Amino acid sequence: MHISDGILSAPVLTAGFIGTVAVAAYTLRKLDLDDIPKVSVITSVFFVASLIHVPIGFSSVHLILNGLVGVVLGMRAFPAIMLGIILQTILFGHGGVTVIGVNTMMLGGGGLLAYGVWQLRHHVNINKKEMIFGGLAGATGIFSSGIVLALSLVTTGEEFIATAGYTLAAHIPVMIVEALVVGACAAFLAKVKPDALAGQLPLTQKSSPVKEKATAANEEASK
Amino acid sequence: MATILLLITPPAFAHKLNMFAYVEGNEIFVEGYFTDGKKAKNSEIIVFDAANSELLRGTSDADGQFSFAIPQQNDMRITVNAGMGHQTEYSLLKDELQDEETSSELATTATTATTATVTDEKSTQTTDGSLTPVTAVNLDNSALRTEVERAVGKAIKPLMRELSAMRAEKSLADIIGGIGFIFGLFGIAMYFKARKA
Repeated sequence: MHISDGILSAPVLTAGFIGTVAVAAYTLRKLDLDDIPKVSVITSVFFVASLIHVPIGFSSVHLILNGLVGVVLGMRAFPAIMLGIILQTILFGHGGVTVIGVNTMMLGGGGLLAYGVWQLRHHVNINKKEMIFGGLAGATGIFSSGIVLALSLVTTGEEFIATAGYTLAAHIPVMIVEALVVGACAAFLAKVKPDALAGQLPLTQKSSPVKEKATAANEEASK
Repeated sequence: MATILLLITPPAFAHKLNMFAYVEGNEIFVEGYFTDGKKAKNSEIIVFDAANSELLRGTSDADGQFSFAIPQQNDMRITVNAGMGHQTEYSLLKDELQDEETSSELATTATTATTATVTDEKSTQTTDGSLTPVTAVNLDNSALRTEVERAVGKAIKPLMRELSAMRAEKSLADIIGGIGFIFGLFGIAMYFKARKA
């Protein structure tokens, strides 16, 4: 799910870059030294995920995993996805250089929304909520990216409803695969290494990076 | 119309779109396909001239192919749009067309002068082994030339396909290199963070 060069108009591309820089600057605030290795590993996972093709029927889909990045990195998902997209563009020719901004808004935004959905798990009390909300977050990442893709294609003159419907229909297999993958990963991590997952506390206040830092500090203290 | 087109176009998923275009006889041949080998069916193909104004447009067939008569003897830019943000383009330069121009010039001189006629009176052997006498195959220079061009064009088609597929292939070096970039960049970030702390 990368938009290629030469489709979108200059204002849309510029808006993509401005939005990406702004959101990346905001989400990178107060990056802890301890967070860096985790962010770099997950960025690598995202970077390589697009090469993993899952055969479905006559066709195949490739993983995107922006939902997983959101679940594991929280707010840091955005800069991680940005770096992943830059490298995918340069090395694999996915998308295009002028579209890096829009593609990052599309997939990185999906990652942030996935994180939001993941955080909702604090408000319910059911069994296996990590697996369920991980799965939902995985599907959300793809779904919201599909909407952004359709929105940005509208600016080229394609009709929104048709494009959105078609895009989402085409991505249903990816959505299902990602929901399974992210749900399984979240459940596994919750059991084995719960502190590897983002957002140990619910998103009650807006200042979540500070909160996460406080969480990290608490964990540090408890060790 | 656009809606109908969108509906009949098969799901393109998130693969990279590739294309190749080349001159074959008096036509330009375009083919679009995805990295997983699927053809870019029913994709919109637009041809632009050097000044970026549209020359013609068309839709690829079920094999992702489209061909059209050479519209002009100059640089051209051909784009293939498979929908859902997948687009790729190819620049067909004047040089690639030049041959055709000279050959068609030759063709006109050859037909008007009717001097160089190649007469092949030998018998050719058909595949079943029987000898079919070919009394006189009159091929003037231009016909022979077009015939050879068509044959060569057909012969190199798989090569062209392979070549563009190879160009699009991701090598292991790119993957390892990308991971190296990521770790390296975060390593630098960590280095500066650690120094500050």
